[in-house]
Amino acid sequence: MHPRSKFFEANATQALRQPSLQAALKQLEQGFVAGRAACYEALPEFEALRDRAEEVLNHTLENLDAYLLEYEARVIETGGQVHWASTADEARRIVVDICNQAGAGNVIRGKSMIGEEVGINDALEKAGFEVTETDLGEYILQLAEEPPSHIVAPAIHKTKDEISDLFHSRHRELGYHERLTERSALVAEARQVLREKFQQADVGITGANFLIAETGSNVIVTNEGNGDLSSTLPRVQIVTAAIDKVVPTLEDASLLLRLLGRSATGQEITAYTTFTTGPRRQTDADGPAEYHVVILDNHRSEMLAGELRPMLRCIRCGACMNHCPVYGRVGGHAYGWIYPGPMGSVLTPVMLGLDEAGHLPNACSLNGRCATVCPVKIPLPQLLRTLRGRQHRRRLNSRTARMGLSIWAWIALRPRLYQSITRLAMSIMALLGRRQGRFRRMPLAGGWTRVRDLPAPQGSTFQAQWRQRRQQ
Amino acid sequence: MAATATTVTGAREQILNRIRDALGRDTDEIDIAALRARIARHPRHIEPAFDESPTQRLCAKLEAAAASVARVDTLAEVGAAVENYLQGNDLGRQLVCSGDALLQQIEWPPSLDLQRRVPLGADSVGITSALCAIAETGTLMLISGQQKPTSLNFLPDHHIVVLPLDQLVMRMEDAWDRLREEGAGMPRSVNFISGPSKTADVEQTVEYGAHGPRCLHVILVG
Repeated sequence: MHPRSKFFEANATQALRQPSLQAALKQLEQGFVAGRAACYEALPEFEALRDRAEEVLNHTLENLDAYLLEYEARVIETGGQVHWASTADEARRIVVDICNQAGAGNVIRGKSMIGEEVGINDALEKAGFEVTETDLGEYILQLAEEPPSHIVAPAIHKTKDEISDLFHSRHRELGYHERLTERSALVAEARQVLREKFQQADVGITGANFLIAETGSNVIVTNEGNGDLSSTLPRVQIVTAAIDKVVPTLEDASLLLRLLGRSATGQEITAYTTFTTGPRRQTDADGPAEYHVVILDNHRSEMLAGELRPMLRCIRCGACMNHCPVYGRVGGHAYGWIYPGPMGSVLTPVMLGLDEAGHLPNACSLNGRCATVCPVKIPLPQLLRTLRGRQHRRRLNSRTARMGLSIWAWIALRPRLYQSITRLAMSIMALLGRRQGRFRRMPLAGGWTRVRDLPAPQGSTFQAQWRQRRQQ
Repeated sequence: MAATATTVTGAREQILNRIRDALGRDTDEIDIAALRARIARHPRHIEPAFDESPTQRLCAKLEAAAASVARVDTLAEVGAAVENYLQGNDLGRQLVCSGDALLQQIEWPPSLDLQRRVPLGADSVGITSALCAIAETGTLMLISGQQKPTSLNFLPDHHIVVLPLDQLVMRMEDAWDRLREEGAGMPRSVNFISGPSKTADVEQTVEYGAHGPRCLHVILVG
């Protein structure tokens, strides 16, 4: 998709004015957030699991080249093929080539964020293939020609009415004429339409929640079973996955699976967790004849080198966005690309560049809720601050912001000067605001006072109060 | 395709070199033997404790996930339990059956029309056994094989699973050990199934029967 992260401010303003989006986002609290909280309460080992997951993933990243090679060797031993792609463009070319070689006409996709990241659907359609998304949410978005707005629940912004209209207009050509209004009827109709697609497909493309170095397996976690049908029925299976998906053993995957469902949707485990390994064996009754894995880098090795390395632990549960007060108001589309919320605000600037996505690391109050719930303990606010720092050093933020920050830094590095200035400023502001207790307008703080009042200070600075308390 | 093949090989070395640069070390500085030993040891991690009996927990978890559970004492009673389920749900008498050893042992009532084959889209009932079940999460573990088509776990509307209770284990890690004991390596497909197919993609509300079975029925034996 064409990125629109540059327009975050305009996108966000628009999102705030969409009542249906606001209603959908409100449901997050009772849905995913409450679900995760209940799982957390029910599992005394939750924090210990988070610590161990962080440890295992750090160990894996420190030995990433070796584990990727072990994984590759196991895939080849079991009859599969491994393709490596440095960039999104290379990944697209590899997938199109495999489909061409297979003489495919119809391609089905199981939901995968890597597929979105590299834009597989567009590339395949341009090459003349018919591509069908099979995850219900992704299918709805494919019909609506929209990008996902959440990494776990891609069509979270769509209302039932919108889906009714969409199916009514797009399924007519397939012989479905009635406009359905019941949720169950909509799901049943999509099931029927997609069943046919499953049966006709030559190639099934899925993602991977994990790749296992021990066995050469890929893991797919779903509730619908679409990933399983996509990897069982077509003659050719393609798995698209990034280098950071590999874990050493089946036991390591089991550890992460205990955290994934709970953090994502508040489920101890999803309806289906499937490990597939290579193509069908001679002794198998069904399964694909060809099994391909496309391993994608796309700037991840850059992240491995620096302060952003913890981001490579991400298991794509979506808990950070579910708990983010900014995402909770503006939704996923405002972020302008396929990864929204806190994790997207780290990934998008790395993958598309800070000039394109510079707003995103700043669309955060650093409240820290995302880091508190992250199952693999990624310090997201710290990573966002790292990106803000890079932005400042590369002079990508506005001149006013740069000047303001430079002045503030100059003063803050001189504690005595800082204390006298803040003391003076606070007493003046307390005096000026003593009648109303707040300011409706404030020079240099128009961005704040345009939409809310600024509370008047009480007269003494934090540092002064702190010192006083310590003396008592 | 020659061009792609070259690109692919180039990309592999590039990616691995970038990773090594990022980690600040050379290939020969890595203790590959230690990593392989860790894989061979496959250490277990934190395993959540629970108090209920494994059978109780399995049933409770399955039912909470909208699966139905029936219990019989012996394999001889499975046929009648299947008949019951078909009658209770108006499903006729035809079902597609996996050819695994356990189901072969059962003497099926003549009223049932059991077909041992790969299922088609139109088949409404499938019956399989499971390698084992996991008490912690209420999960069945099914593996693919000669007589065990994976599509049988996903295509029919109703999936009946027969599970002897001596195949119940506590956790996923025990299931891996059970699979390793089989000694045949990793099967092409390992399906962990914890309920019928469902989706919450329409307004975050759960609907059953998204793509896979609308109903999962587990017959526990023993």
